[in-house]
Amino acid sequence: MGNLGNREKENCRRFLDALEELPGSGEARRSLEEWRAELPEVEERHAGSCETCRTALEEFVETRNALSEMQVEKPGPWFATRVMAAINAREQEEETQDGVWISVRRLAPRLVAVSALLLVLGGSWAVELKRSEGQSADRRGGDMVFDSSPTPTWYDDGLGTLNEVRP
Amino acid sequence: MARVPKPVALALTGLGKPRAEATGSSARLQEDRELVRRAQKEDKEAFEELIRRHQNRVFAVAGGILRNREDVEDIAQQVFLKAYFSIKRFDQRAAFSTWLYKITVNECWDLLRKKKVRPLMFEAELSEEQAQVYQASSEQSDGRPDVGERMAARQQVEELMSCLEERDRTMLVLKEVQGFSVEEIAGIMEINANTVKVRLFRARQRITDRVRRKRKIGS
Repeated sequence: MGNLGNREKENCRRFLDALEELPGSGEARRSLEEWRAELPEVEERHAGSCETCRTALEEFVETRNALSEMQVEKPGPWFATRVMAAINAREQEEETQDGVWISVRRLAPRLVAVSALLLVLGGSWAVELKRSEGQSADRRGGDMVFDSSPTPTWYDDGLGTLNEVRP
Repeated sequence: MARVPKPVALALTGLGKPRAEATGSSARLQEDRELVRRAQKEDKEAFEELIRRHQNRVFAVAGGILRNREDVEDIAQQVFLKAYFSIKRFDQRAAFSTWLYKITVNECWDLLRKKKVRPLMFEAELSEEQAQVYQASSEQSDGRPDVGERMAARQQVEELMSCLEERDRTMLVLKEVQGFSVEEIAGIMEINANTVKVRLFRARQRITDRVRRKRKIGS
């Protein structure tokens, strides 16, 4: 029983493969019988005995006939020439862009040197500026903290001057 | 969503025999390889030849996913531009055509995401091109099939396809309209071949349901 089932499946599989291998009919519509006659003998007999596969054949024929009216687009006579012209145009465009990049690449070492010099000069100037700002800040702060202008002797009532205390 | 019947589902997920990847004859594949090698060495004539060999299919694939003719042309041009500028990175493990159609599908999906519209939405109004065709068809009287009827049929197809997700619609177009094999579709969309089969099966079910419903309404 199992073998019979397997054989049936195998027959169905072969039938469906045979359907897919049927050649196109171009724009001509064909009947179910005409298509069935195109199948190999074994598959043609199977279509007679297997309802599922017969249904598959009917759907195949309906679809083919429905699509036989499909408009097939065709290229104009100058299509290939137009494509080659488009290719040439794009190649020229890329060459121009490459030309710009080639100039940039040629100038690159000089650009790098100039940039490096500017960085060094700019950096030194910034460091100098910071140092001079720092020094002037130091000077102002020291005067304020350590300003030791002597107070006049006559000002301090409580304490005598050193000259008076020491003999 | 319709349930896939068990025996069919099991059959679909069974292992299939892998097939050698081939789009066209092996001689054509070999020629493509040689052209790619030359294009990788910046031989522009070789690349132009690759364009001529594959432009029809790129247009057809893009046209199946997008609706607007102008978009299809723009995308097709973009695809070949992208292919040209990345061809040196292409290692030829897959066929050039598979690689190219992969780029095509991805570019289409990117455009759709940018536009944030569902593809193949049925529009009530015709584009200027379609209006001119209708005008021309109403003036002709030489017994040729009515162009207006064909236009209406095509719009119906687009309306049918609008019920599918982007990926399923792409797969169906590649399979049913462009004739790619399941393995080729799996390579282009970078998914398992069995997944392609299951999704195609479900997509056909939905299309059929819609067709039958329209017929019922019509009758």
